[in-house]
Amino acid sequence: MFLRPEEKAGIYFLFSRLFREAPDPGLINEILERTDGTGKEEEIAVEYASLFVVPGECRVSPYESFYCDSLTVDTSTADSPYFQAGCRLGGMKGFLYGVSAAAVEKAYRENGFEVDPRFYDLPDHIACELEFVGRLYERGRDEAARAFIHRHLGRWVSLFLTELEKQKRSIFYKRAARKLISFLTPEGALEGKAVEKGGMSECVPAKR
Amino acid sequence: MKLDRREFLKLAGLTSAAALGGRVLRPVTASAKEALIRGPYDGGEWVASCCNMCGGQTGILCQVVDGRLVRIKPNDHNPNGFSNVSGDFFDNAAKEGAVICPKGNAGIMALYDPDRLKTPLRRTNPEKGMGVDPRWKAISWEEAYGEIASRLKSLREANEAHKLLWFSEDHSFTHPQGDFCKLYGTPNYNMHSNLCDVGRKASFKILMGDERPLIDALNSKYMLIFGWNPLSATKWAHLPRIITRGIERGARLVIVDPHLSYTASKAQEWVPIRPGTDGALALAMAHVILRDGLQDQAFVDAWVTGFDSFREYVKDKTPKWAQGITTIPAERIERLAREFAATKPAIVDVWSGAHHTNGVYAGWAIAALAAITGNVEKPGTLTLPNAKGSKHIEVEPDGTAKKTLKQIRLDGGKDKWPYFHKSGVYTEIINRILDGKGPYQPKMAVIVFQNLLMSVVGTKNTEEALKKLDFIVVVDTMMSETAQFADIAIPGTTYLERYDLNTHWVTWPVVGLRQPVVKQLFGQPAEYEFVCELGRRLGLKEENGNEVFWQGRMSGARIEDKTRWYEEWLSKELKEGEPKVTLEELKALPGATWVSKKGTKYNKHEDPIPAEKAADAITENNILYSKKKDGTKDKQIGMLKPDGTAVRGFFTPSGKLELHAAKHESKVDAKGRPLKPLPVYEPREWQPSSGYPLFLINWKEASQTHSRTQNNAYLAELKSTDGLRINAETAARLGISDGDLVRIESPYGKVKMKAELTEGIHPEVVGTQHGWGHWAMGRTAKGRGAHTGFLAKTVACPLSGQSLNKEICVNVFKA
Ligand code: SF4
Repeated sequence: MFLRPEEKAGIYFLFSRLFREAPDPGLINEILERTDGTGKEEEIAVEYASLFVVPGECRVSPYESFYCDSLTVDTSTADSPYFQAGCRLGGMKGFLYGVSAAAVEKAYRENGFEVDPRFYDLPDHIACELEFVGRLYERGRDEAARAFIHRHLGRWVSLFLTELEKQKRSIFYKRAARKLISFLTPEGALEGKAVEKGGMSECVPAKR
Repeated sequence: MKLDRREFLKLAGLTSAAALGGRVLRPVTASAKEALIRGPYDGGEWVASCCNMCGGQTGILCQVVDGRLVRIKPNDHNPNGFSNVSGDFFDNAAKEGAVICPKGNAGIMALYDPDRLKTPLRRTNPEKGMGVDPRWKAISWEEAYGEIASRLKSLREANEAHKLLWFSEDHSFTHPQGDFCKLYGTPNYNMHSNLCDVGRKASFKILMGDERPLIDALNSKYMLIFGWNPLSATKWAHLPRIITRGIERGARLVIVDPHLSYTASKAQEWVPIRPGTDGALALAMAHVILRDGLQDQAFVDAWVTGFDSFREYVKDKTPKWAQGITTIPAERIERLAREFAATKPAIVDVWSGAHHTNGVYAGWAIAALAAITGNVEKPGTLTLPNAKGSKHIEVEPDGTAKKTLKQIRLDGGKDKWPYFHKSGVYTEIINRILDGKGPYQPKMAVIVFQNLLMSVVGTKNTEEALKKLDFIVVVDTMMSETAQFADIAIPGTTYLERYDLNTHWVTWPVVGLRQPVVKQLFGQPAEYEFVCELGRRLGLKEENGNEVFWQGRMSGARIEDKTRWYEEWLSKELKEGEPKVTLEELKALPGATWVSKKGTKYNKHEDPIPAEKAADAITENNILYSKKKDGTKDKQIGMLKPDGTAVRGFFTPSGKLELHAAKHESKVDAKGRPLKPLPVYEPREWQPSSGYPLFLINWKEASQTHSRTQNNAYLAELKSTDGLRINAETAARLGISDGDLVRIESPYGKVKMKAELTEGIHPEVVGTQHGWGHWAMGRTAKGRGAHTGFLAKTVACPLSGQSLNKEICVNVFKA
């Protein structure tokens, strides 16, 4: 299936929009090809919040750092009696604003963008990364787009989408996830190997 | 699902429609371009601030690289992480370096916790309750502010401002919140302390007129500590250092506690005691000391009042008597008493061991040991705090606010509780909402960083009470159990994203600055900005028309930017307070900490009152008071010694340490019972019975702060849960083996936990670390350990309003 860069850009923008905030009735109608979006609005807003906003069972973290970054705490000098046997001190994952967040922020800036402060969220949010790829395609910078997919989006988006598909709470967004998967597959964005290859990690010394 | 080109093109086409709204990226601005040029990883900036992983406010240094916080280390310029006496700090801090505790080290994970709240949320499910899905919907800040402000406005316009309850943390931005309540018109501003140490505060207030004496552990030779785990339940990171240093210099540490705490494990002696009986032990020790004439008679003659009636009272409080109550052998009590009286200087202290119905009197009896042995205000003893810091600028409410401020507090306030603390009485508030027997029914609550369901005893009652309120706003960084009951939940900031001034609890004046180390992660306002915005929307004013939430306190100008507005607020508090510097000047001080050069002073009760001051004072019954502007009596400033010289003395009615409190004779407690003029021992109310034969206690450790840090990934690595500690013999009797799942039952509820067998707990007692058992909050916290609040009764100490966190009896079964 051939898509021209600006067409690709459009699709990235759409998905970026869907993950940025819950869709309004107009958009719901367009996507679902129906006219009763108004009735669905609240239901989808609650689904959106439970998936991407509210901490809890159903939350699917929409951040690259959460999936990719790891942290090692060097406790060679720690003598705390509180360290339990079997305490895992290396490769801790699942936190926000890791090195990936700083790296994508840098990539945006190098390409002339920054996160609008009115977007009250982090730079490695899925909506930012998708929009950024779209922006690059829109400007005909296919190489840069592919490089960003390779270095960032591609490392985690499949993990994110798989999680999303699994969520019971996910109805509207399950469909969105599936569509995004089938769109991104030919883009080569779903290989997700970089994660195993060891994403970014850093070592924090526990000693002073 | 197969998708074809046509469908994709349709989707792509949507983007040209206005349907998508705005974008999240924008062209780079000039200032952001500069940010690209940043140093290497180990470069970045170091920002000095103060920790707030607990209420301790230890100094920290934070390394920020590319806008990310990557490291927290101790701030050597702030004494709070080093020592509470100035000589030690001035001489050794730079050489040895300060410390932070494990919680402080884990602060990065609080900031970057994946389960943080990030946008205002509105519940769409009107039903509330534990386990009920609020069906949250993300809403805009405008919508959140709009709704909260309009709710507050209608309440105020209906002259019902007092029906707003406000709950806050006790160490962060309390001034703007308290002022908001005052200007709005509610007397019901409450904060955490009544869950913490208002019992201890009352005990020491009775004895010495000061609520929070500090231990000079470094210079001590004997430390006798009841119900406190200072080496691990660190509130001040300097405690482990000064206590262990004290031991290295030859001090003996004795811990009286039903549980072999971490501190007890480092002590020379652990004295396991039956819960709630510490007062009896202290009285029996006093008996031995006075029987054998081991008191410091010269000090007693000069500085103690009520000695004779106290001596009379303890005459029959023999070690044998105490043995039957405390389970501590009489000979051991004899020995401890003699050792304590003979070794000087000595410290005697108690903290949350006082969370029971006899707690205030017990704390007073314990403090009395310091008085009779002269272990007060000398190096190595209990010292009076000199925590002069920033100054709270009082606001004057307008007429509308005054009307409702006159209403009695929902908890009855100081008319009901003889040692009422301004933090309120949470348990009383909950009970009154439940039974509707308060002076009125509150309608709305704003709850800032208080997880009432996890922290107030009697969880089921808290749940029912919250359900009865019309509208609840919760501000928190996490979706706490309490936030689940909110109508609107507001994402809060961590201490790494906001300002505060911290008056440190060391023995001489020190003020540390907390400042934003990184920008607020989700663009959310800091809590003072949130309160300020509400104040603006409500148009709150002082009586003279001054718009407190607009006016810059330094410039007097109207300030739009709320951060700048607060910066001026802080500058004013610093300028008018002890430091006399501006915020900018404080930032520029080493470690952003102002440290008074005056240093630690002892024997402050002997400080002469300057002649002019004494001449200007009002003197009544040998007590000197300063004058208010209108010439009436203000605060106690000193006393006249028999020789007529004016000295500071102690701020008690007699100016001396009081073993007999005459003023108690005319007072009653919250239950209407007359107060006892002496530090009496009375059995605590809830005693074991055949159905519930075991005492249940709980404690704190360095691995977590209260119930607030359990979602922290670092801390979860350190210690991932806690079980029920039970004496091995008791367990054998109950057929319980180590690691068994057990059911713990009280008349109020039941929970399950894993049994941890130990010799390190009194055989009549089971216990666990407080704070586990979250059923919400986040993925790391949820489902670890058990919450014992379900087993407790919603009740407070009738003197102080201290919640009785440790007065629970249970039965334990193999599950
Ligand atoms: S005691 Fe620990 S958690 Fe508390 S303020 Fe100090 S370093 Fe922070």
